[in-house]
Amino acid sequence: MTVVGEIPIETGREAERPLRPVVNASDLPSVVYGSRVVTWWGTVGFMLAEAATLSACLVAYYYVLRNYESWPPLRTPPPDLFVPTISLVVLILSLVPCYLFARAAKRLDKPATVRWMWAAVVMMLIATGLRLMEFSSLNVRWDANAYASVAWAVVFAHFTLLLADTLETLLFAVVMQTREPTRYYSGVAEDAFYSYFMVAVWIPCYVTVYLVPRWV
Amino acid sequence: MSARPLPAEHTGESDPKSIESVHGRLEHVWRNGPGLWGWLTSVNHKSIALRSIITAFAFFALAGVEAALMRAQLARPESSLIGPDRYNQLFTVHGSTMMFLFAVPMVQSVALYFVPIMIGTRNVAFPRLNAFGYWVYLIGGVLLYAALFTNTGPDQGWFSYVPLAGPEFSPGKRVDIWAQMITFTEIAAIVAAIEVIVTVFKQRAPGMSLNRVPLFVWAMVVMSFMVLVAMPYVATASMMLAMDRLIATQFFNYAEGGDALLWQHLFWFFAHPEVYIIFIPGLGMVSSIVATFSRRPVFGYTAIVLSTVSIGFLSFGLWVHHMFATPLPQTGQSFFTAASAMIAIPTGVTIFCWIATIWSGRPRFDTPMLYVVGFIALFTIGGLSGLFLSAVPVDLQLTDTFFLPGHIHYVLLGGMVFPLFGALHYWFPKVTGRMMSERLGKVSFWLLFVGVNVTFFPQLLLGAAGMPRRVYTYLADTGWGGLNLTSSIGAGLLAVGLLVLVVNIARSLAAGPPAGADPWGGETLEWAVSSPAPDYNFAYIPIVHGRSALWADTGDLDAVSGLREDRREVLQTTMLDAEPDSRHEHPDPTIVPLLAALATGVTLIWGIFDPIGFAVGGALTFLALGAWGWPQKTKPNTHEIVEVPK
Amino acid sequence: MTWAGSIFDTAGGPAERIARLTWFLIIVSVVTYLLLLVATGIAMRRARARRLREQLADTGPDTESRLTRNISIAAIATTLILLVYVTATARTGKAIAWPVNARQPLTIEVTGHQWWWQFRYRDSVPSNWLTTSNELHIPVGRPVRVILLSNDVIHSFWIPELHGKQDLIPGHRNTTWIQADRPGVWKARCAEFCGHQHAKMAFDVVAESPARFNQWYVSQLTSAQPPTDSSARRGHDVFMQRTCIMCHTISGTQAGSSVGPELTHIASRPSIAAGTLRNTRENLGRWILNPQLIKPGVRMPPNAFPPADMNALLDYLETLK
Repeated sequence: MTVVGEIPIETGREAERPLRPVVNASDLPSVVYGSRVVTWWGTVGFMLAEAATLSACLVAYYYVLRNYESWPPLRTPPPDLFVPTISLVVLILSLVPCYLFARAAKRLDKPATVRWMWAAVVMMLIATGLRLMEFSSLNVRWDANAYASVAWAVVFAHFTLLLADTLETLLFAVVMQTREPTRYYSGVAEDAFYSYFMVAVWIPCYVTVYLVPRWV
Repeated sequence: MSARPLPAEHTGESDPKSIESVHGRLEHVWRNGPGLWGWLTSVNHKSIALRSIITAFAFFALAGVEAALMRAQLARPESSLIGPDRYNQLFTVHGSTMMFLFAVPMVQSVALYFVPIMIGTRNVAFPRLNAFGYWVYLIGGVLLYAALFTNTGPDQGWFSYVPLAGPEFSPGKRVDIWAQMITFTEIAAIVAAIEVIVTVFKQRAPGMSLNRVPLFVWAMVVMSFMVLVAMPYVATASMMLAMDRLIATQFFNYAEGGDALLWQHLFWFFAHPEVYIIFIPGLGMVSSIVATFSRRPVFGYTAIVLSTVSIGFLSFGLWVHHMFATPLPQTGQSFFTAASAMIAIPTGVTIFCWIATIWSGRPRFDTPMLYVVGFIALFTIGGLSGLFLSAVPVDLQLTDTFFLPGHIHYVLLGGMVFPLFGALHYWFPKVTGRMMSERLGKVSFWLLFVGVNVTFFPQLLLGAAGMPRRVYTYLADTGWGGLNLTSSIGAGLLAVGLLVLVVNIARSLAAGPPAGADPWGGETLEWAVSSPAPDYNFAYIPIVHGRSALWADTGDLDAVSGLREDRREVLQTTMLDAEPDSRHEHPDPTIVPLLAALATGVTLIWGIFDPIGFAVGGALTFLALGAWGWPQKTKPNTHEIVEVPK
Repeated sequence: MTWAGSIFDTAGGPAERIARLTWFLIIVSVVTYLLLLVATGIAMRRARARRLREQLADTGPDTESRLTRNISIAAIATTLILLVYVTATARTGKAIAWPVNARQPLTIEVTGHQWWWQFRYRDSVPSNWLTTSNELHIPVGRPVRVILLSNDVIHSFWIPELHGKQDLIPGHRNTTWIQADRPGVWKARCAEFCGHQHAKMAFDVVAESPARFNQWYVSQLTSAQPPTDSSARRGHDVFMQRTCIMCHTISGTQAGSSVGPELTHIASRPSIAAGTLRNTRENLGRWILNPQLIKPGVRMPPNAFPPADMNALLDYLETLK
């Protein structure tokens, strides 16, 4: 026993507040879905940070735009629309297999989940390839002027999200294929959730980089 | 969620031997591995948080030495102790260290240590991510100091204005190292923020509905949301700066349409909330201390929560008050004066509530409470000096003078460091199991309190006297020598005070009186467990019945049993009302987070010198993350219960 | 209030109004602070616990509602003080704005360099434009429009006796204004960190009667006279044939570079090296010999002239009044 501040303090484990179990948690589920899972919340947290990052790039884009009389600057060609629009369409379409594998995962249907995951992976790989081509559709090198730099910044920043999602979906597809799937179904559903975000957040970026130079 | 009768081995209360076996089994499952490997692979939140706290204190000491050197140089006019190049590195690294390597990591680590215990859970939501965050932070800090010690320290100011920091006026790699240090610390901060938010949202003790969450936890949640929104701005800006320097982008080059003011907007949009990110956790610590040492729950819980949230939101609308001397439209500037004034209202309400708590309680002024009073005294000077700066006409005279270091140190030392030192004395017994010396605690408090005033009040006067800031020397005929000497003497007092504090810590670690579980008679759950807490925090998850968990129930605490004792399992509860919802298995110790952090380090550091580093390092990082996500060696899934959505 | 060199040593309208607002804020701050300290002190002196972990304080609903009332009063008082603050600030802001119907303003374009100041007086007659360095003369009683440009990085133009500061930002054209209401000589400093020698980037400000200002202006416009003295002539040759000509201008001679400060009337300046040294022969000699010893990092290289050449050069420079 120790005396500190005039009151004896018990030490050792007897000092702890005794715990009296009155409720049993052993029949609570251990695999749940959606916002019942911490990784869903973690994903939302990362989404918030990533959305803030993209907003910073967009802020830079519109700030630089104000410095120019014409946009794109004189003698800088506007970006092509063809490849970027195909790429946008492929991205949106890739959400279809995403939705389907998420639904299959919630039904605990392994073959369907695996099938649609591989379909999603293929579409995302195509989207990634198209995004790489999109950089040359910008028709300007990143170092030509500030317009070029901010356009590249927006496209590249989002590209990191696309890449992350593609790789994550690929990883999950392999795991689902090769492992006992029970505990991974909810993670797979979250992967689809992230994909919706990743595509949704691209739309204002697409509008900014490819359409605004034609409207301003 | 059943309430059926418990099997005999779960009703530990009547059988002391049984509770011991529960502790024994949990201890076996939750402990770290042995030796160095165990240290490197730990995923326990207390182990990681404690090493992060120690790391942050080490950076604090380094930044303090830098400050001491600067004050030594400025003590006399035209001193030749330190030349301009070295001095510019010192003030840049001092500011960057304090802001990025001490303040934010420190408050986040304190949160990562105490929030899980305060809310009644066993670990943070993502144990491996937590470890990853620490290693990334450490690598970023080591990078900065490797640069300083090889005379490649950044020298463009911690705020790194362009074009001075751009490729034309800052050749070499100094600024690039700074920019990359930002990336490391930003990743670490975002990781820690996500940990806090998700752990608090999903792993609270049953019965701890949102309106029963301790005020410290509320403060950390608000701060974490702010981190998620603000940090990406500085990371994006620093990445743009790095790209201007590395691959000739033109973000900030006016000759090619870029804009020096773009940097300022992006940076200050982050940096103003950043100071509130640093300050709000201090408010949370003060709430914890004031309740315990006034012997009553803090008055005005709802008002304080709402004030904290408003401060969080409002802080995003003030950034232009750092740019009043730039060519921005006048009318716009006046808006920021009003907004900056407005944030004083919730801050004031919070302080008034604490005074009301002390007033209606039975206060005792042990060291932690002394620091609270010191905080009120010092932070208010800082806040009032801030009003001078938010008034545009006065700001135009005082900005960029020594009035600024005076102001910021009053708010940072008063608003964050004093609460932190109070929290140190308050929670040291919980972390180490020993009490600190009250006598030495009071000595170091007074030395620091007087030291802060002697160091920084003269700086407020020097600003009014006309002395600009960020100067390595000043001429003798300015007449600024006397105030500068006084300020430097104050810095000496601060150093002595800190030394006494360190001695207190060392002696208490070695031979302080044993503390027991609850030396102060606290209200929150961390005082229910032994000191230090076991690796698994609670043998059974406690159930709370009121805002002050331990004061609402005297005697035994109701608890939840049924979590597995043969693997790491935590209880998850619903977000609003904290009803038990599901069980979740946690990973065992693993080396993968360290490997992933090293891969990230390779990517970002190589990228300073050659863009190929991003590609190669990125591939390595992907591999590490793949190993992370790859299922661990599976144990038999005998108790997997799946509940699909309806 | 004459704390020389401070923001209270006011010599012009804007600085005076700002100083007044500053005093108002000081009084408000001190009163508010004392009130807070008193409240805290009273709270600290009330029923104090004698023992650690003493019984929890019981507060009834009466106390709680009284406290709520008191805090609300304090919050409302705070809000009112802040409203007064915002209003006072706005009024001062309006009062120090550029006087729209200013009569015959003088316009001076300031260009910041690492680490010196260039002033170009934009007279209404273009051939009367005057360029000088590191020394600013203004006539008392006349509003001066100041245009702020930068040659390299961000600097800040600050004469505390006259007005608050404004930044010089490359790529932007910022403006401010000053007006001296009494004669005086002041030291102004760069107030935005601009690299190695930010600490030693000052300039002299001289406010004088309009008559004396015109006198100064006219003499500044005159070109340098060719030296008559043989030593000074030798010094002139040193200047024109060695490194000096690469960076400096002396109007009336071949030296026309604007990389460094303009030197046509160097001998009439109170200080050299952007306010770092008093303008004496010895200091000038030290500076020319090795500027890096006085302002390490400055863009002017050392000049190891033999002593005879150096003496001649100094003799020549002394003729440039």
